Amino acid sequence: MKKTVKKLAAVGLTLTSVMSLVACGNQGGAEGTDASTAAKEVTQPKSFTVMVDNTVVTETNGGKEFYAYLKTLLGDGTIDIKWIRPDHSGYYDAVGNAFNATDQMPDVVLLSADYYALYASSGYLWDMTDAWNASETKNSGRLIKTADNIFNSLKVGGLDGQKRMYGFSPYRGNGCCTYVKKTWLEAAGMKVSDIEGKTLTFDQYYDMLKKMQVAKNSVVISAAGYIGGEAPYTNYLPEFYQKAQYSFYKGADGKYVDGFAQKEMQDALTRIQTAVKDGVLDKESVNNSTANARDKFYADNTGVFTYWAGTWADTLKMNLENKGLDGTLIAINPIKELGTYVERIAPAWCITTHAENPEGIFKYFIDTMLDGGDVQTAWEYGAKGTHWDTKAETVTVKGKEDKGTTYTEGQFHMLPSPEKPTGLMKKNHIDPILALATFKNGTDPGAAAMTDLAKKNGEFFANNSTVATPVPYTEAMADNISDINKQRNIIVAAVANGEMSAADGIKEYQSKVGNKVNEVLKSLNK
Amino acid sequence: MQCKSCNTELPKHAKVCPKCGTKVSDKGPQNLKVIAIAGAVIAFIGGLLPFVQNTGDIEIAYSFMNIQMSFFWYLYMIALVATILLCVAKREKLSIITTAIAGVIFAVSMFVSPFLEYAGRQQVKGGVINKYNNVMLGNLLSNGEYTLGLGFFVVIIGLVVAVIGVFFDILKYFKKEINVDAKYMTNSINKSVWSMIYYYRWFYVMFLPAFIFVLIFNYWPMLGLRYAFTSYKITNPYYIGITHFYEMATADIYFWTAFKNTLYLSIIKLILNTGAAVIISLLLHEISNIIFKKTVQTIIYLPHFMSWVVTASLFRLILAPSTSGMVNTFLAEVFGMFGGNPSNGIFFLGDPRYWVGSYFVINVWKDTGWGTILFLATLSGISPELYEAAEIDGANRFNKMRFITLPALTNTIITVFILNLAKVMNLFESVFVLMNDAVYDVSNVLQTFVYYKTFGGGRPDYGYTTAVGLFRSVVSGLLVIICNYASKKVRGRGIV
Repeated sequence: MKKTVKKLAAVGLTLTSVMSLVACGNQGGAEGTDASTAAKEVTQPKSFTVMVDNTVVTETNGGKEFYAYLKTLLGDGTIDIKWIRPDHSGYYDAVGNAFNATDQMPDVVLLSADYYALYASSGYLWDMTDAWNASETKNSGRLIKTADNIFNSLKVGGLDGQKRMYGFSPYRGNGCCTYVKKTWLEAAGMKVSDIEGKTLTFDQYYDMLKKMQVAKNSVVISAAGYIGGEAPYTNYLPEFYQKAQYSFYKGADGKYVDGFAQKEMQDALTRIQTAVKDGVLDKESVNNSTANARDKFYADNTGVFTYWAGTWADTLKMNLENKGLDGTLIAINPIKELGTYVERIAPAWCITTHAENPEGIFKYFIDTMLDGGDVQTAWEYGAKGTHWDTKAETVTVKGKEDKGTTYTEGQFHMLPSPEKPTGLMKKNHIDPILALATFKNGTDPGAAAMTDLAKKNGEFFANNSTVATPVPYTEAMADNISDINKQRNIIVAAVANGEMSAADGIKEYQSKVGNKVNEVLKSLNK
Repeated sequence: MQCKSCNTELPKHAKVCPKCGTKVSDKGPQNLKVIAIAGAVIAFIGGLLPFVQNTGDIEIAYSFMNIQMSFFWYLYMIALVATILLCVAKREKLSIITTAIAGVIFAVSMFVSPFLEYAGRQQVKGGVINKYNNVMLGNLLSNGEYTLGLGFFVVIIGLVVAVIGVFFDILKYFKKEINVDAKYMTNSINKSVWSMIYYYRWFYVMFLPAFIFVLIFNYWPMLGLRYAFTSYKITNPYYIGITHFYEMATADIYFWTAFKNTLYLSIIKLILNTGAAVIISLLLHEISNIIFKKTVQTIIYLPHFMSWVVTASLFRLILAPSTSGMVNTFLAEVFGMFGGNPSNGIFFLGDPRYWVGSYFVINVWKDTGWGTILFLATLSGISPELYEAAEIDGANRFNKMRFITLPALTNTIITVFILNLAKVMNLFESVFVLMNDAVYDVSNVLQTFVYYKTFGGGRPDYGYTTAVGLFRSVVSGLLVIICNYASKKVRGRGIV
């Protein structure tokens, strides 16, 4: 019996092998048909798939209601969108897997700057330059004055190396500014007027941190990593990195250089090492997620926090107050050595080459995001009746049922968040403060719902920031950047923890990945 | 040890099987057709390796996988599979024909069919495709930039071995007969495969769902192993031969560190976990109060049911170099270390000097309780009479443990150790949740290496990571074989 089973198993395995052969990829040398560029009438797409991260309202927070509401607003109300919502922390793993198999590739995908450049250069994104130039949004006259900078940053090299627009961002990328707790500042013997509106030098800034460290006998800053995970990378510790560049950038002579190997980075790493050694900067930063870093700030374990501007200014304040702490935060000007904060390149909505009707998707889905009307409202605030409403009612949040706010008919107001009914819904995908186009009537319907703090902080950041410069993706860069970045991160952590000097760290970096860096530089400077 | 004829478990030192009467011999009958099958498998593997290889940085290779007439590859593989099937079905002579056919197909593929030279990518409606040029073998070899590759030689060796193996089997050189009395041969040996299948048809029907399940979920994914020989960066893989393996061995700055870390962390963890489980089991065994014993057992089992993510968060908090870190606070306040300030304490999970030790402690905490189950079961099977006899002989507790308990436990310890040794390359989750950039050099293992290589930014190189996975599988396979051999030596029977 057993031998028979063995034989059968052998037969089964060999059959499997045969099947494998049949399944092996067809490597036929067929040349592809030329992409037809013949002009055609743009038709409304019947259905398409969209892959997004949690920057679009999640399904636990009324996402399905948003989908249904959006459907009623798009085209003639019959466009069937299949939403693909991977786990937020594993979003780019899911994107990578989806692009791995053409049959799983979504028609529309939201990509951060690095992945946007990567997939564009690999030829998997539809060139929307012409569609954008002819779009209603572009020709509406409602774009904000800095919109061109954003759209220019979205022009990246495609498979043929030509810089074109492969994605669309309906909002500015936003960035991080540094918040200082008033209570910690006062504990250090300083006043708000000492730092608010002032441009400190690094020495003054560091002196403030050290005073806080002594006063509170605690670390002052706990960052979400010594280095960020996406461009501009240095935005969680801008005062320490200052002008240092983590990745490749174009030098004054027009040639690309490796920012990590420059003197500025060496100096930055030394500053970080000193801050860790002095107990100013939390050594656990290497292990921190953004949530960990925020929690430490909310728990009053830290007093200075560099985090997102705009709506987050309000959220940080609210969470501190919910913990019974003083929520007064001072957003400080970029220090003198830093010059300006850096605004990240906004995530881009891209149409993949998998889409059957990219022109239709652009016209009926992407171009409507900033229509200055109902669709833009939906992308900014969510679904009517779930996240916001205009009917006459009294809105209360959970736990404060006796402190409702009454609205009259037609008055726009936010509703309690379906996921966390203890607070009001703040926004959907587009942060109203960061939207690249105004509304048709010139007034954002939710303007009144935005807090002054969020608006003020958004303006503050806009006035004190510059948009990060995109780095072109080459074949060599795509092949080597994960190893190079990993080695950079290892060196940053090792220097910060005091295992080696910054100079030794840079030397080790060069000895380990110097060949790969040179290969990338060669491809960039070709 | 089992009877070669009827698979009955044999008593130790048995000379004859008590069930079927087969003589028991250390050196059982040799079936030489295994040589023929091995030859076919070698030729099969050779079909994946490059027949023609460039001489420089070995980035260009040609084989069945990038031949223009790709059906030749299918025919070749089918012929080899037929060889194996015929050997299994005791039609060895016919297998010579199929092996010869495989040889002819190989020759035709090599010398007649053009190869496809990768010539970049091209964007088309609906995606991106590869472009290829046709090149002939003669043209490749004429300019000196290419040479015959490993696959060429492996295929020839495989085919020759396959034919020689059949001849050995037919001519029965060195082959020993199974000296079993015919009256005992009621098992599969004297019946055809088909009649046996028919006889036991309902068993096979019951077996079928499991068989299909295994095929779909265990073997079907293995088809992806072919990508180890391709450049696979966002769809459109194309053949590059053994480039990945060469790069892995010579140029990758993380691979060997990851390999070394995998073995080191796994093996030490295995020793510590097994050792701790044995010690705890022995201690629990000495407890006579059943309620207390059961309570302790339950408490030490519980960590096993916590996910690694939760465990990591918990220990990150316990070991934090801050006032919220229990260990550093204890050291600072009780022993006055770190100037009394826990924030200056040891960064257990962020300092390479302490990470490895912390990792082992966390693993012992999580898995020791679960590991005691087998040992406690074995201990509960020890006859109390042995202890009574020992007591009468004047043995104290320590001597009873030394001379009764531990010897009774030895076989289980070895079994557990060997079974787990085969899994040492599977380390991932426990490391992944505890590692960070500061300890990357001591914590990066092969599975995390593959993860970061794939999802760490840049363009995922699925071909390369599949090659690493294949390497890992080969090492795991070797470990299984070694463990099987060790198990046979120690226990008298294998683990597979």
